[in-house]
Amino acid sequence: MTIYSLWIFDRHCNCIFDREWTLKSNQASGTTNSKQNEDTAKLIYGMVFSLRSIAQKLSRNESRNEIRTIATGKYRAHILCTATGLWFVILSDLKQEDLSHVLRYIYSEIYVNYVANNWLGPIDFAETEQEKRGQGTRKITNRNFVRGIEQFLSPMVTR
Amino acid sequence: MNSEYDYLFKLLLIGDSGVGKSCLLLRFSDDTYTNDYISTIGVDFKIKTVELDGKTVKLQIWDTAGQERFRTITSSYYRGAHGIIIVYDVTDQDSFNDVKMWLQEIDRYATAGVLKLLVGNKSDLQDKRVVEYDVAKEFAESLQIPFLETSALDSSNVEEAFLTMARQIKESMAQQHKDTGKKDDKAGVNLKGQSLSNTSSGCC
Amino acid sequence: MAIQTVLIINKSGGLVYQRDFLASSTKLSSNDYLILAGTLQGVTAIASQVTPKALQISGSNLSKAANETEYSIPYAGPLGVKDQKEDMGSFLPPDYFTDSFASWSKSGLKHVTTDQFSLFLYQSMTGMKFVAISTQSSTSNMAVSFAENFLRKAYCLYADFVMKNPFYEPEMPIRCELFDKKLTEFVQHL
Repeated sequence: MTIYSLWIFDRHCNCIFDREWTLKSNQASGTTNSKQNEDTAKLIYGMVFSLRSIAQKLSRNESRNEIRTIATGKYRAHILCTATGLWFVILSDLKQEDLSHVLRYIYSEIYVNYVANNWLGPIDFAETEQEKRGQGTRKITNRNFVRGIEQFLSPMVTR
Repeated sequence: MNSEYDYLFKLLLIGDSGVGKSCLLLRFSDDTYTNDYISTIGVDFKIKTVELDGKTVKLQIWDTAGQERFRTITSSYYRGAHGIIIVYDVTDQDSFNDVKMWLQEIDRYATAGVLKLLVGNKSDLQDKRVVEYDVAKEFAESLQIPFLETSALDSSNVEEAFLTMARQIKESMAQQHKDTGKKDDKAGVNLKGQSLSNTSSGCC
Repeated sequence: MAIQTVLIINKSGGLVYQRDFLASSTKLSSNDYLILAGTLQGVTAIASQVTPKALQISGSNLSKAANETEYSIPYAGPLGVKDQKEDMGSFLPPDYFTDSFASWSKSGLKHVTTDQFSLFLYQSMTGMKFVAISTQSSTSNMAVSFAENFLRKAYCLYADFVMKNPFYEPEMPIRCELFDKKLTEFVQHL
């Protein structure tokens, strides 16, 4: 079982958390909230955004048709879009056919507990008008949240 | 019949960010799309349906983003383009200087012999103008590229230029047919083979 | 799993063929489909751009042979074309070929699932993209290799009935009755 990275986007198109593992053999490797990943985050956002709108366009009825996974010949992206406009994206190897339960757990157990229910944390990660238009750089730095993510996902990184 | 159109031409719109590429064709396209693809995948689409010699032609205009982070991706959009429009801002000297860089990109990624057009935008802002018409005209002539100036207030000449371009593309396609039809005509041999293989290797 | 729509996108991202096989499928305008095709072209480029670093690091160490087996797609059987031997094209009946084959899109977009449908994309060596939209959402790798088999055969039909048509203009919209007919037969026999 191998996962490569986790990305969280808020409803203003900003990436508010990213964690990428760079070595399959080492679960402590890689980066958290890295500045270098800014462009990658934007591209992942773009990929999900466009395919999501295609999914919606091709929907057979009025109900929302949400995107679940995107696969290339090398990796698979698993996506969870919440009603509040948050996106959780995990990139994994192709053997992971469905990680929706993992995403759901990250959202409902880790994110809701440590970020949404945290009275000291910001309600919205974008404060200025500009940040609300995808220019935001604020990240989730909450230690409990980061630890929670590490504890939950690390066992899935190493094969 | 399956398809509503006989021909599909790909036109590419390039230039620095902020030169007003997207505004150029707002009224030209079939519908006004509210898509916001350009900021996410580096390209947006405008489609114009025209009739040429009794054939329905769709012009699909690929409006690319000038931002740096899309540079590697936009280069893949050059593939197979029939015509390329380079846009600069007459009130911004840098955007005019960068035209050379864009032309290099075209040489590197696009098919040889692709039709080009140079457009100076925002010509209504006379008092802020820094790139003179004559300078740009001379530059375009030295490269044998058609040139025109336009503004958001009146972009009818761009639209006219687009239609001319579509006509030229169609003619050149008909010409190729004639060439390949004549067996003894040496020009019918595909001389573009070299450059075609070059571009494809860059895209894979 | 039924095939709802088949699209063919040329190497420059232009939509040259679009056909719905179910009456219930959504009716998009031809312009919407053109935009959809262009968007898929862009997403394919981006998808390979965002390949995880871990793969880029380990990928360079892998031997070429290992790489090739990884991308080889197993042959999934004749896909219901058995009963029309002579009709399927100029290749040997009852099937075009029975070997496993390589996918030419190694790092680009291949498969998208949503709540309602799956979208599969097969890329030929020349950059043609064959897209199938199925009525079921399936994330299994089995479904992907089945769909690639289906699309490769659609590619064979394209090679036989579009490319060999002397009136067809390469890279332009496909208007070949015979191809329409063969493709419909093929989809219905699945």
